Amino acid sequence: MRVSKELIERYHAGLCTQEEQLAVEEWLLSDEPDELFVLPEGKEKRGLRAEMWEEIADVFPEKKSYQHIFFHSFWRQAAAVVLLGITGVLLYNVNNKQVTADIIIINNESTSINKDLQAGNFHVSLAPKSNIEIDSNTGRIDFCGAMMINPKMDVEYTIQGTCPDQMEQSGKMKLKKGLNYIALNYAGPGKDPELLVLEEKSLMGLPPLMKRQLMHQFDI
Amino acid sequence: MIKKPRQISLYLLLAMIAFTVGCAERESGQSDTSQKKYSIYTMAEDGQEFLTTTDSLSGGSLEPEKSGVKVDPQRIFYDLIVHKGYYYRLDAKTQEFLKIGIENKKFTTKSRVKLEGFSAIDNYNWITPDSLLIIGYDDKSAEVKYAKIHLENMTAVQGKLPLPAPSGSYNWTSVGFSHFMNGQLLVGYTYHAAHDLLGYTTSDTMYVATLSYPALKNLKKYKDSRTTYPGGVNTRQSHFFTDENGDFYFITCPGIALGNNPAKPTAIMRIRKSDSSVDPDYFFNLSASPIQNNGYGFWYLGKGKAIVRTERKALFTGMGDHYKVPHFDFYEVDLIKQTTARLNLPLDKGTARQCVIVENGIAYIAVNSDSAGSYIWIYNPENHSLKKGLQIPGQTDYILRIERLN
Repeated sequence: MRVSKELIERYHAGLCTQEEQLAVEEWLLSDEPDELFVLPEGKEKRGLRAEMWEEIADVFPEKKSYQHIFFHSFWRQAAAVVLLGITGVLLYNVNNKQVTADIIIINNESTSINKDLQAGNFHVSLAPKSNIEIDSNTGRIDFCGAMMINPKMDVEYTIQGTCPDQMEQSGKMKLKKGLNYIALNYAGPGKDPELLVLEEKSLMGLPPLMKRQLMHQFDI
Repeated sequence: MIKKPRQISLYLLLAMIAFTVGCAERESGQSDTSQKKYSIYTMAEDGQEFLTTTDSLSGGSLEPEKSGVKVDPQRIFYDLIVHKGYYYRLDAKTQEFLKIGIENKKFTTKSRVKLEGFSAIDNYNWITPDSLLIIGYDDKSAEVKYAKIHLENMTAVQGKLPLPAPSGSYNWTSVGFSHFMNGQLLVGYTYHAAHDLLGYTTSDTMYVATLSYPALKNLKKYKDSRTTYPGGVNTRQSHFFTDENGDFYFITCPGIALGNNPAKPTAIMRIRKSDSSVDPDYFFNLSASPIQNNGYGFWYLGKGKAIVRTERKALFTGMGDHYKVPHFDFYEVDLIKQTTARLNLPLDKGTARQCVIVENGIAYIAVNSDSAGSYIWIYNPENHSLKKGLQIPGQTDYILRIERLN
């Protein structure tokens, strides 16, 4: 179909048939020179096309650039915060398992990282290569290795060392709410390991080398 | 031009006001502690720690929870170096060396200097009256590091000491003393086998390296297996001194609270000024003396006499109660005759304590006794008299440090 000046005017007035409308739009999109079409005096195709697009754009429903909105810095940051939050909650849940059973058994097989968790009445940070069994029915903690425990309430527990060559127990100990206690199976030279259960403030009484290692491991 | 008498009076008045304000500002700007002679660091029964200052240890009483300043952060009693009105310590987490004053009853960090790779001070030593040499083992790099720190402007120069890294079954080094003698630096050290968090022990051998100074090149090395762990961590307690002749004495600490190799005896050894070498013929075996135990603290009284603080192995079971059971004795030792005499003091508690000050031949000894209270005792070695001085009543459980502040 030949795109004439009249056709373009009808297009502007919205009087074109569907076929004519398609023909005009095709012509608009085409970069081919159209020798048949005689432009109005003083106009050239590019300028006219730009004018027409401007008018058409006014009529078209506003098209939002979703890509632009998403990558707007505010939304980008908000999304990052939400993602981080979700990751954090997931990680926290993985690392701080809320364990509520009466008997809780935890084994930290890592060689370098503590295992932190909520276990019954305690928050426990279990050192690498350590294991613990908390029996809240009998009020007994069996463990081998090193740990830091923090009771959520005043409790009385018997702490028992269970490393292979050690069966020493602490006797009933009153553990006070909110205080950090360090427990370890401390191996003296030529002696059976000694069970140490110390309030964090008494950690200073340990030899400097032990104190340094424990403070580093439990981030004290 | 000032002409009228009234104008002159006004200027005089203004000058007086300016002078008074200036003085007041200077006074409030000074640290509260810098005024007093002695600093006392205590821990109360509930674990709260206080620093209190006083001009006299000879009598009276002092309640830290009333007149002291709460230590911030707590549990730094084994970290401090006290000098000319200020407290210095290494913050192991930030690896910063801090200069702390106490102002308006608060711990205030006055200045700081970053010490990369420094996570602990094993030993400190004075290069000049205002510059320090600190030495610490860095387990990450297995190197013994040092820093020379100028305390006035808080600048530091860091490096590492050329001591052989631990090898074989050993994975840790402790430097127990460093001492400048005849233009050289003598460093006493030993090795440990640390078993994760489950304990450690110490090599049967102690070493003394002689390094050139300031180049810090190895000149010679002394080795001895009669005892181990020469010296100790001197921010915790005193373990060595120089006598009037310039001879250097140190105690060795194989006991469970330091070397953890208690089958070895605690001994006093000597480095003579005449040849800067360990005197191989001088070995004062304290564990074989009437003391019959290991010991750690070591302070000079003067005139060839010293005080040692020794444990009683029958009274504690291990590290679990070592710090809280009163079991420590104080002995006067004669360094030349190699004799010992127990001071008739109540049994003392606390694994390591900076608890002796000697001034003008008189020893002031802080003793924590569960039954006889907490006192500074005054010992006169001339007539062997002992009497109670300053009392620290109230809630105090441990007197952890006493030292000269000014």
